[in-house]
Amino acid sequence: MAEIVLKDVCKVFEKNQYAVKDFSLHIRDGEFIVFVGPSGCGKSTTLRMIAGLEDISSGELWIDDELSNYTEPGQRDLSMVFQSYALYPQMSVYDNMAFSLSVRKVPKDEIRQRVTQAAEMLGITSLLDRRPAALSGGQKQRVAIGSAIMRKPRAFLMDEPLSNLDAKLRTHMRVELAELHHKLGTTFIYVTHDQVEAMTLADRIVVMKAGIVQQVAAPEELYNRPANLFVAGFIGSPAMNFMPGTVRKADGCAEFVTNAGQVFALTNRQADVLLPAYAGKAVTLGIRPEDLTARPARPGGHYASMSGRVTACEGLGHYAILHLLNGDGEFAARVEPADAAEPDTEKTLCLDMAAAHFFDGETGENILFQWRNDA
Amino acid sequence: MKSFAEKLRGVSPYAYLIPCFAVFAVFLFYPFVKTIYLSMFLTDKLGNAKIFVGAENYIDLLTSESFYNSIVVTLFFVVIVVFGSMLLGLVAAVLCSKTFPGIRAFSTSYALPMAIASSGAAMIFKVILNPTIGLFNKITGLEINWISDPRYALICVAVLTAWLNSGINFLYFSAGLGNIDESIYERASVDGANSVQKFFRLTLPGLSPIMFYTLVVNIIQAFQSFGQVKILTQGGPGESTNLIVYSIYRDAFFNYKFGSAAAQSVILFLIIMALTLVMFKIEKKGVKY
Repeated sequence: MAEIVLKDVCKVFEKNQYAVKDFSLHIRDGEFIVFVGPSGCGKSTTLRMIAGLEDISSGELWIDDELSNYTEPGQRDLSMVFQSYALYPQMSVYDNMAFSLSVRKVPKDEIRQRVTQAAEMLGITSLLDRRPAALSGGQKQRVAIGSAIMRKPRAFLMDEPLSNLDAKLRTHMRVELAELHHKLGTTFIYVTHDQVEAMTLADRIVVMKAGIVQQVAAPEELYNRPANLFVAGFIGSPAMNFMPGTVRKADGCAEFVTNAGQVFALTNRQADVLLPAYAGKAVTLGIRPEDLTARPARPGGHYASMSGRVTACEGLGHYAILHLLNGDGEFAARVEPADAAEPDTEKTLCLDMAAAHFFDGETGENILFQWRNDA
Repeated sequence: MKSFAEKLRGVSPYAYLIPCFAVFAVFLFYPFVKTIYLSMFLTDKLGNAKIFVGAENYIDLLTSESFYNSIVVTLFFVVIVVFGSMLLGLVAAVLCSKTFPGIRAFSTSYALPMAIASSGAAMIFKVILNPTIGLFNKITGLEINWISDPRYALICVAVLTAWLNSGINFLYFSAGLGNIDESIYERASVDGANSVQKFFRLTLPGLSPIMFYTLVVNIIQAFQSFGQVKILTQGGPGESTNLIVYSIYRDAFFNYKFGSAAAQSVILFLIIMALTLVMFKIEKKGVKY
C-alpha cells in the first residue's frame, strides 16, 4: 500500500533532450493510475523512474513520505510486470513466481503456500512445473502477474502488459486486472498506448505527449472535458472531429464560422465566454462523432445542421459510423443503423452544439474548460 | 531412356560435393585411415609400414609406465587448462558486459590471446619465467626455477595454455551474455535480487548452452596442445610435461617409432571421442533450457 508523489520529475537523455519534463503527480493509496499517450511520449520512462530502473535527472520521487530518488529498485518494494513479461527462461513457473521471495530468504514453506495461493487465483496451478518456453502468450502473462503479486508490494507497476496478446485475450485479461485491483486494493500504475485499457481500468488517467503531462483526470472527465486538442483527439474512437474557424457576432446572437463557411449558432453560455475574448481569433470547434446524429437526440436541444458527402459507412450492428467529407475536411458521425447511408450520397446531420468543444486556435487549450495540474 | 541432361541432373548434386569432399579426404579421412593402418605395423625410419604386428603396439603402450604417465599428466593439464581458461574468459566477459568509456580497448585486450601463436606466447613466457632475469621472479621476489622444476613445469604450461585459450572463451561468453534478455535483469532488480544472486541465478544458467559448447571445444583443444610444450619444456623436466600429443611427436620424429605414435594417436582419438559422447549425453540434463 503506498502513496506515490512525483514532483517536477524530469528525465534528460542528452543535452536538453527531455524525455520527461516536469512530471508532477500525486498518486493516492490504492489508486489505479494509467499513463497513456503515443509511443515515445515518456510514459514508460516515467514508470521506469518510479521503479528505479532509470535515474531521475531532476525532481523528487516520494514513496510513502520517503524520498526515494536514490533507493535501489529492490528496496522500493514495488512489483513490475514488463511488456516482454521478462520471465526467467531457465526457471520453472514455480521458481519464477517464487523468485522475489526466495532472494529475500523467505522460508520455503511460506513460499510454497503463497505460490500455490497465487497460482490458484490466476488459474495456473497446472502450469507450475513448466518452463516459460512451453507457455502461450496468455499463460506467460498470467505468470508475470502471478510473480508480481507474490510479494504483496506497495504498488504494482505495469508496462504495457497486455500489448502482446490478441484482441480477445486482451479484453479478457483487462477484466481480470480490474478484478485483481479490486481484490488486492493495492496502488496500480499502468502504462498503455491503448485508450480502451486506459478508459476501462483507470481511476485516473495521465495523458502524456512528448514528455509533458497534458491532463490528469478520471476517465469521464477526460472524455467530457479534455484540456486541449491533443487530449480531445487522443481519447475517443472514432476520434473527435475538428473544424477550424472563427467566432463572430451576428444580430442578437453569436455564431461560429468554419474556414469553409459553415455557420453554427453558439449557445448563450458559449457566446458569453467566447465573444469577449475570441471574437475574430482562430478557434477550433471539436465535436464527438456521437454528438453528430441523424436527428436531434434531445427535444428542445440546441442543434445546428451540417451536411457532407458520405465516403464510407461502417455498420457495427447496434450503430453505424458514417464517414463524410465537406469543405472543412473529413468527419465521422455515429448514427442509428436505420440512418446508415450509401457512399456518394449527401447526408445532413444534426450537430449538438451544447456538446461542442472550443479550442484556442494557437495554443490548442480548451477555452470553455481550463485544466490545471494541482499535484 | 533417360536423356543425357536428365542423367546429368541426377549426378550434379554429388559433383558439387566433390571439392569439399576432396579436401576432407586428403586432410582428414586419408590421414585417419593411414594412422589406424600404421598403428598396426612396425615402420622404418621414413615411416613406411614394414612388419605387421597387429595389436602389439597397443599392448606395448598399455603396459608402458611412460604412457600412463603421459595420460595422467594430460588429464591434469586438461583439467587446469579447461577450468582456468573458462574462468578467465567468463570473468572477462562478465566484466566487459558493462558499458563504460574505453570498454572496447578492454574487450580487445581480453580477446587478444586468441590471435597469438602458442609458440610465440611460449617464448615470451620463457623469458618472463626465467629464474635469474625473468620478470616474474623479479616482481614477486621468489626464486623458483619455474620451467625446470617438475613441481611447477606442468602448472606453468597449463596456465599459459589457459590464458591462450581464454581469448576465444571470452568471445563465446560475450556472445552468450548478449543473448540473455536484458529485461530479466531489470525484473530481478525490482524483485530485489543483488548482483551475486543475479549472477548465479540468471547469468550462469543463461550461459549454460554456450557453456556446454565451450566446455567441449576447450577439452578437445586442451588435449591437442603442443606448441607451448615444444617450446617451453620439451616434455620435461623428466616426463612431467609429456602430454600425449608431445609424446606422439617425440615417438614419431625423435625415436622413429611411427607405429607406436600412430597407436597413441588412435588412443587419444578414442579418449576424446568418448569424452565428447559422454558430455553430449550429460548435456540433456545439464543445459537448462
